Amino acid sequence: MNQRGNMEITIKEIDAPKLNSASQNIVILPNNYQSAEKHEYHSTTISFYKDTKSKLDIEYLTEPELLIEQRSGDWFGPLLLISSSAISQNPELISITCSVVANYVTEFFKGKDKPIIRLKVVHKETKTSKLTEISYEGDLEGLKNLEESIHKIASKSSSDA
Amino acid sequence: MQAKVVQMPDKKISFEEVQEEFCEFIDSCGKFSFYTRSTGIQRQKIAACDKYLGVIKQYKQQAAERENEHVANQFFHMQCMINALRSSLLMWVQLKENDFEGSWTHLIDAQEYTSIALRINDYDGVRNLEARLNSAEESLFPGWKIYNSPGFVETVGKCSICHDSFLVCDHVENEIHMGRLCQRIDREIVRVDHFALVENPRDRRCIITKTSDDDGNEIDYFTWEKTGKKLDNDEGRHIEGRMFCIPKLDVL
Repeated sequence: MNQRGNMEITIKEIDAPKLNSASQNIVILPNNYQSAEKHEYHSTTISFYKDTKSKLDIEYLTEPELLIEQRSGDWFGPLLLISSSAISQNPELISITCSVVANYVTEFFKGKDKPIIRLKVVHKETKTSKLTEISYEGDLEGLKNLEESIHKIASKSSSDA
Repeated sequence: MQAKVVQMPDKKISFEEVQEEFCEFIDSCGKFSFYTRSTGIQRQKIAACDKYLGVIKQYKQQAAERENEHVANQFFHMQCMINALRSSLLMWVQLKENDFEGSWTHLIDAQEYTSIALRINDYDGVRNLEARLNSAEESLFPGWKIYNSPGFVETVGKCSICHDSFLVCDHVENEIHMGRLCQRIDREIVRVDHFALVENPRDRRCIITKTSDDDGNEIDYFTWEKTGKKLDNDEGRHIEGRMFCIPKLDVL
């Protein structure tokens, strides 16, 4: 766990044999992607997808039908999957993704106090299928640290593979 | 439902003239947004807001029909500001009638209208209203350290702008399109997942309204008076509150 200022980043390796996505795009995952039950996405998913599809190569794992609505003031972002092969094709992908998230949240909360962002990114090492979940909780400014953490995981995973 | 008929002025009026009239109207309402002002006059001002909202929405509709997005959004800004003042007047009226829960709801409505208005125009007048509402909140109400924040699983629903499935249309939540705020509507709750107590809720209307003291007396959170109800504290402290409110803001 890495804690600095108003943010916290938690990193853990996960085992999800059911996740077979081989997409070169950013993939929005349902929260219960490890379960066999009907997929449930964060309620921010669809607007985020619509807003960012012109700026990012992004897709849903499956078409959302059920959404998890959290009535908290924090912004619970969609769960994003980034594969190592997508990063090697586009080294700027992580930076672009974090910047798109920051811009979206800034616009969404225009006229209101800036929220706490809760965002999870899953990194998939394409060769080994190893999955690492990086959870971010903090303010907009701290997203730079999330970007660094994803880069570190991506470099380590590719050297281990 | 019967449609509301709004009498429009016969003569043509420029946007600048409407804007001037709007500023005068806002000032005239603001003068009555104080505790000491007559409740009777405050009620008259609320009725005037209702009438004027009808006129502004007609102008907005005309701008939307001409597909003039900028002007439609300017009228929407006016709509939100009038609603913010209307809600603040209602806050004072309810407060004087000792309906503290209702007064709190109108305060939050006023704050939310102000924040939507700020999405379109940010100027001293809106910021002053925002500051006045925040001051009223601090001085009139006790302050809540925790609020209710439910979590549930729901269907995608429809778009408030085009009424298509929200999955397939191009509109984005919280964006303003042709003078209307995009929201997901007609959502069906499939499963209630949890109820959490949080410091920073999405909806600050979801407050704790009653609690209990060490002796098990139920206490009204606004007045701290005993309600007369006796509760069993053996299994934990009792709290009662609003778990969920259906948003009713006039943003279309």
